[in-house]
Amino acid sequence: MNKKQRILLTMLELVVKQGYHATPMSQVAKEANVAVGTIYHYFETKEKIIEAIFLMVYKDLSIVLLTNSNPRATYKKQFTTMLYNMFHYFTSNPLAFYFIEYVGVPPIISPETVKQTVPFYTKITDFFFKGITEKRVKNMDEILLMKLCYGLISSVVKLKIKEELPMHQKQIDQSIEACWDTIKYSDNKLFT
Amino acid sequence: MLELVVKQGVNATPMYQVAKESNVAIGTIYNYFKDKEDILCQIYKMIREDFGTILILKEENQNPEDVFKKYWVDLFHYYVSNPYAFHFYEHIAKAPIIPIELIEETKIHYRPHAAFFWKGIKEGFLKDMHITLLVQIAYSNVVAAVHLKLNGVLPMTNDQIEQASNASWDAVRRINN
Repeated sequence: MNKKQRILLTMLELVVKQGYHATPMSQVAKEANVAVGTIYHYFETKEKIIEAIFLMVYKDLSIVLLTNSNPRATYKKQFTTMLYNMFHYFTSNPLAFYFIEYVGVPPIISPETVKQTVPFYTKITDFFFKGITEKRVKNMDEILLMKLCYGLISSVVKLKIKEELPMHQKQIDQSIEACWDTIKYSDNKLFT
Repeated sequence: MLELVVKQGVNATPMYQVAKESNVAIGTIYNYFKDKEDILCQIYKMIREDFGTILILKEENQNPEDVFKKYWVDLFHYYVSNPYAFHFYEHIAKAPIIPIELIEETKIHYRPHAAFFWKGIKEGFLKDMHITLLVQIAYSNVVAAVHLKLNGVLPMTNDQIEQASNASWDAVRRINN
């Protein structure tokens, strides 16, 4: 691991554990075992480090989501595969999960930085557009559709991480089925 | 205090700043509250009590879909009009900052709400799964919509609110295939 990566990962761990405001650069330098000057060589400010972590995590997630994706599978199958990927990514990378949930949010992250993640997700957004056109999913704003799914998965990940529920296979399956029902096409006039 | 901890985090919010910004002497704060944790607990209690009033079942005989959507939309509006409460509850108010005992003790405000879900599972109009999971799924949909609204991502017009609450009803209701 190079120094830059070490700084990012150290910062990630510290901000998740202590919070953004309670994490001074001096501590990051110490725990990453680099000089404070070295950090400033790579990143102008603490905000820039957080932005870099934010982009790293979102890029990572976008790649993970499409693992094992099979364009020949049914629409539902392709959708649920993404959700299983998301669930497993978050439960096996709790630091990334906590970062997305608690640190990488406004106002710490600016809308401009959020916009930079859009290109990572074009394939996924297109998948939802296709679903709307082909009447597989509800005809509503694709951002709302995606957010409902993301919110559902992240909240059941929390149940698992906080040990409120075991989230064994059956509970994971039930959650993902519920998520499918959330977006599944409906001819209700609300969606026309 | 609520505003400061939401903006800065608990650790980065000293009592003297709370005193300064609420324009009282530090001694005054300690008249009312034991310490910082005590203030946070009081805020937490207040929000949980608010839930109690939102989630009251008003009419026994309404059909479940309407009851569910009413919960959904009322909670959505509560969060949207109390953004600090929302951030506090979602991002700060968790153990160990809030003691487990207080979390358990204030669950009483959810009773009518929990009763609705129990009834639904038992009578078969809701999906047959662990009640915690079912409640969490419904709640997550509200939170998602609130995020979009508060972060200015979507306007969350009445149509969008209706669509979202309807989609959320599909998430929890029993669907026979």
